[in-house]
Amino acid sequence: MGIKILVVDDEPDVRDLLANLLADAGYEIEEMTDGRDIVARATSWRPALIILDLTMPNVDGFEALKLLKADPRTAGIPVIVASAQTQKETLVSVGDLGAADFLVKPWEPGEAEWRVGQCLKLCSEERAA
Amino acid sequence: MSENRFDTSKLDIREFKARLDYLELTELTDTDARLLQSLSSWADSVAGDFAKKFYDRQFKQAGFVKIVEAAGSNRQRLEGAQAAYMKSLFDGLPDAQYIAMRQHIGSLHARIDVTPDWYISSYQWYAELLYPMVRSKLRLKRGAANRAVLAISKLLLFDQAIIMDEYVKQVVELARERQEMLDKENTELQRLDRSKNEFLSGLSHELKTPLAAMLGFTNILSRNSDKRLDPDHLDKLNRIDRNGRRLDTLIADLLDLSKIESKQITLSIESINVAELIDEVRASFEIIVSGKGQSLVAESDHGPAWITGDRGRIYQVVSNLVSNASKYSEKGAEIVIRSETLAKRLFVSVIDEGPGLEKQDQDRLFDLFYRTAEAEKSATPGTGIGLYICRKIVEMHGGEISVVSERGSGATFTVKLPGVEYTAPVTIADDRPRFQNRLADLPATA
Repeated sequence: MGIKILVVDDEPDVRDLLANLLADAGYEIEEMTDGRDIVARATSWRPALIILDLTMPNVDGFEALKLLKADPRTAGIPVIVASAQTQKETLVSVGDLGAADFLVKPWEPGEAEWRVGQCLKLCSEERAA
Repeated sequence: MSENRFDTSKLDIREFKARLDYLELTELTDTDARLLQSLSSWADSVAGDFAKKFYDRQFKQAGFVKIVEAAGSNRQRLEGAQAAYMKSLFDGLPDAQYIAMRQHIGSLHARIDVTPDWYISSYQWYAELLYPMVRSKLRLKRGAANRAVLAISKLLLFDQAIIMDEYVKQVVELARERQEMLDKENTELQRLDRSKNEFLSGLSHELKTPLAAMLGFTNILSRNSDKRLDPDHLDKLNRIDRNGRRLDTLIADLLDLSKIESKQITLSIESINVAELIDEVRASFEIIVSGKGQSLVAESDHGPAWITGDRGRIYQVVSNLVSNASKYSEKGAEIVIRSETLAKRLFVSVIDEGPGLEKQDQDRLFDLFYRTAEAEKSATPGTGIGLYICRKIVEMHGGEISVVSERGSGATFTVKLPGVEYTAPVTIADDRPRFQNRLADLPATA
């Protein structure tokens, strides 16, 4: 079984795209359409990394990120925020909330896989240290 | 303003006495006061005629009558001007008209040479003219006549003071009303501006999300991992990708433009190593430029140098200039990014071997939406937003952007920035989590 990545995005096409790209890169993918029950899902399925959209119905990315970071069982899972909102305030606030990285939509070819790879590498280095 | 304000006969005797008290003329008897009241109203109405009838001949040579006449007619005109000025306040006429009105009043003041107490002086003339009349008609002694005339003229001044006081009050009140109106308008505009910005940020999200899916799937197809696509298919996919990215750039430009126009743009100031920044730009364009058979060179005439500014924004400006240089140059052309310092100033030039620019284009190139006739004719993609954004960003850094060109022999775009340092700045540790590649976090450039 490959490394597990949870993709959370309300746009089916963007979700499929990420799932496609990351499955091609050898990861195991699960998908969620918004941030509801994200902590429960992350606790039971135990992904190595979460890709999180910001603008979603019900529980949005900001809220989901807060929930993940507030729970000790999920606080250690790195989260890459994927959004088209590129205002500095947004970047800073998700950074402050504990996001590991930011993927700007639309991204460059190969960028999504590269960021996921880098993020996992950095995290495993941190754990080893 | 209304002539009846001067008509003291409409005051009752108590009020009249109160005025005299105010003027410290309390030694006057009631009879005196009554006399003065009738005199002053009479004087006010007949002074002009009186001056004409009795003093025409006598003072003609000295030009006094002319002055009195001029004062009278100027007073009317001045009152007209003031009324118009107040009307302008009230109706909210454009500032230019208000200024013209003020200039008009100023010139009238200057012509009777009594600024700002022009009313007072014209009344003093009347009072002086009254003196012989008071003496002869009322057969008052010299001292009593003096006192009466003084009382009348002071009274007239007092009236004037009341009028001016009221005038000031009215102006203040109108100004206050106007201010309230403007405050209300302002609040409304701020609200509209906020909703516009919310709309734009929402819109950009809505536009970029489908673009992300389109470009991403195009990219997956382009990998041609199952080798089912022929070169023609791949070329078409490449076109989809290129145009999608143009759309992405356009969205970023429109967002920047809306931020600049609503003054919402803020700079994150830090120390920037000039050579590093230029090398980043050069590196990011290397593939694009070499793909078009062009070459990109960075040159510098100075050692290590730092400027203070928003790294992302300066990067955006230089990238934009390089992107333009490449866009308008032929295959085989060389593009140079040259960095020079002069005292505390930095000059970053982007030099191309493109078709160059006409003089009239150079003057307007940094205007919003301006595109040269050549660019329009050759259907070179562009919106006329990029260079305007560049200009605004450079100006926000206290710098200037300019172009030197001659038709047929390329163009040199130069960004001048102040405040160059030649020693490494002291860096302050920032433990905020950092994203892996800042440059990719920044909006794309045109």
